[in-house]
Amino acid sequence: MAKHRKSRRKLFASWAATVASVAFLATPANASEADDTLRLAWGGGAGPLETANVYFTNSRTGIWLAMNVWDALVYRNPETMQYEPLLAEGWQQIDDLTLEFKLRQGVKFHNGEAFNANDVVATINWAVDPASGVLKARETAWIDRAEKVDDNTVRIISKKVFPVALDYLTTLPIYPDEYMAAAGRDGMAANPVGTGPYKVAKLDPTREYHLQVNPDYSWGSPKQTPKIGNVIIREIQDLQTQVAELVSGGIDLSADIQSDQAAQLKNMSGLTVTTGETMRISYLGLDATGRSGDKYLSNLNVRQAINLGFNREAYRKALFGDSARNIHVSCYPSQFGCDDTNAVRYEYDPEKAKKLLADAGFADGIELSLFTVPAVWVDPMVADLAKIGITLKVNAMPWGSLSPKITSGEVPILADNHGSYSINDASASIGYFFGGGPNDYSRDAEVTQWLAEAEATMDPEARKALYAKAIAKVTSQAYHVPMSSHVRHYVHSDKLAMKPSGDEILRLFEYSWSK
Amino acid sequence: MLQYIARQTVSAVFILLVVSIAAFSISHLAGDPAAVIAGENPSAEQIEQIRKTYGFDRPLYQQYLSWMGGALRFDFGTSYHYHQPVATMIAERLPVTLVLGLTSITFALMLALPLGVIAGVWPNSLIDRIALTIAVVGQAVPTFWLSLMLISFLAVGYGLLPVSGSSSWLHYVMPTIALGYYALPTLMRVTRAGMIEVLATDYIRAARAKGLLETQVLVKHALRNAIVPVVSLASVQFGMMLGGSVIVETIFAIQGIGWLGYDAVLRVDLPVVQAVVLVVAAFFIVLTWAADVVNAILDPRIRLS
Repeated sequence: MAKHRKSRRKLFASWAATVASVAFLATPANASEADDTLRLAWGGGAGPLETANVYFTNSRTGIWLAMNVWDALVYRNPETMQYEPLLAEGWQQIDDLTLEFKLRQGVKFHNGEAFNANDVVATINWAVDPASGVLKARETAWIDRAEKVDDNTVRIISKKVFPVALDYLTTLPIYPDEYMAAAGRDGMAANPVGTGPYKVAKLDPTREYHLQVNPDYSWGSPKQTPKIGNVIIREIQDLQTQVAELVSGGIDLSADIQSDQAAQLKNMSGLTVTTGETMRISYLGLDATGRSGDKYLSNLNVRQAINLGFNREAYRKALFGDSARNIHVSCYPSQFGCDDTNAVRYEYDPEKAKKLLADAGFADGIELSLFTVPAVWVDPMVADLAKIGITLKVNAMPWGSLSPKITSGEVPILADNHGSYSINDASASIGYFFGGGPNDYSRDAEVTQWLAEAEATMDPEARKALYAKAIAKVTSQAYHVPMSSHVRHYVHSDKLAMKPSGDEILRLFEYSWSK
Repeated sequence: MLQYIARQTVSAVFILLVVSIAAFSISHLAGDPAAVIAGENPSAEQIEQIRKTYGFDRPLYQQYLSWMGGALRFDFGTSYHYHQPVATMIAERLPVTLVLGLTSITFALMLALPLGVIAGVWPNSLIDRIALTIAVVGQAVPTFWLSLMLISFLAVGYGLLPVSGSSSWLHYVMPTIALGYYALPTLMRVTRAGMIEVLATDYIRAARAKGLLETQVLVKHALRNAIVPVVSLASVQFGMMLGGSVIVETIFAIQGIGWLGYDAVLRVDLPVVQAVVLVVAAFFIVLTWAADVVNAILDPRIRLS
């Protein structure tokens, strides 16, 4: 009996030791401030960044990585939206097609390579060459070539007059030419090298990235020297898992959390929710020309009825709260040319919407097909329109399946959101929606012409006037249902001090530990 | 025996061929791959150019033959989304899923076999009822819910384990329980049913009459025969874990081959979808083949039938 008791005690002791060691080993990594390491998760919902060679991705996390690891010639201040010198110390417009940049001296890439004009010329000319296969065609389509003037001067020559050149140049990171030639596309993906405030210390593709502060980042960059020494970024696609990591202290920051969860986390001790409005807007695109085979949406009354029947105030409050705002035209107010003074506003008026439908001969109601990616935010729209007699048949599908349908003109109503690729100009929103591209379901030749003219003149006032005319026409014709700006919630440890920006880019170099 | 193995091998190759044709055809119904590769805002010319570059303008059977030819050399092409060789992506993901599958099936068998044997030896007893309850709960509880509960209690509540990731063995504990618990009930019930059936046979009565110890009767005579269907079932369950671990892999951010397949379906990344289906099917078929051979060794009647 005594022997049994002894063996039971031994068994319990071993079990307790195991539990204790497990608990010790698995203590949540809550010591971020102590080891000067910021742990964050991204990729929630959207999935992981496909490559760390940021010229081969259009993912938002690719933009975030690029901002922290590389530098462009020009920096756009997120608060003032003004352009500031970054790798270029200054520039001048030589003629309508030529921009000349004086480059900073004394800047080094993370591998020690000195930065000079060869890097700029090699990067830009490689990026605009279709043979390189880079996925930045939108950002580089305007560039004809880059030319070296001397070691510290380059010229970028446009194919056509391009008034938004500086904004687009803020999105083009400069690669080291010698390293690129030696490492190639895959080498840059495996071991990224830039001049930015952080360098990539370790990388496990689609899982984890370890960044370390760049000790040479002291040449007066407007991006500032980072205040936090190390950053570990983890790809966590499941949002519930991100929440659990936040709550257990496994990560210090997530910028992927949805409004409903952010509201709950707000009350949790140790966590802070910082919310900021973004350039992203949600909208419904209507097939006004009947390309998809729909027989109702080419009727102006129907399009206006949809606009009047949608309660955008309730929608915005329920989904995004007070940090967002109602929009009446499909662009973001800070964008150049996005002035809604001339826009026709459709305030919520279901009775008037019903009357418009009845006048069009659809008093008994109609059924319309709406396409979207799986998202909860079409539900209020479905409910609103049901009240005026429009039944929305929702087809939710992954972006990979939806995208070909959009470009081939098969979508009667598209419910989507658009972030303008963080470009602060109406050409990236109004131009994107109504400029005659595959996403343009209005196909209004007059509007397309105005927008083409607006992109072909350097005169700001002329551009504003053209955008104003386009905005008046697209809203009077109700080609779109502009809905709301979006917000992004940054759920973070209350030991972390950070501020959001309208372009939704995580500027990790600005973050610090709270005093 | 050799004849039996040859017969099973021919059957396995035929099934793999059918699976490869199905994987290739079905994934081509998901959408126009050229439009997917082109991304947002492509022109018709760009799409046509991609169609020619990737060979999508060729007849489907030609595309299949060149794909299968590559697959036999473990060359599955390049991912449309990640721009990496698919074979490399699979080679990077497979070990994680194999580890998770092996730990999960081991966890399931370690619980299912003793519980099944005990329940079979003492049917309708209290222990049998407890085992039955475990089985019913295991079949009724969705894996995602169990995963979230485990995270909630073990990681968030008590801080005993890390929430997600795959960088240490501790990261595998909760995924193993979540995935293994799903396979446990079936394995346990088959073991129990096998034991009840075998214990009622004449040769067990004869073994007892010879005066053998009860342990010898149970382990050497009863379990050896009762375990035959369990071996087949365990191999099938293991195969299912390789392809069906997507929920567990997503929740625990493990990113193995199940997650890779799920991600590829969402992105219409056809080369990855096709390769994942083929590789998982190949594992499944090999496991089934191996189970058949093991069963033939355990029970000579099988190879003679």
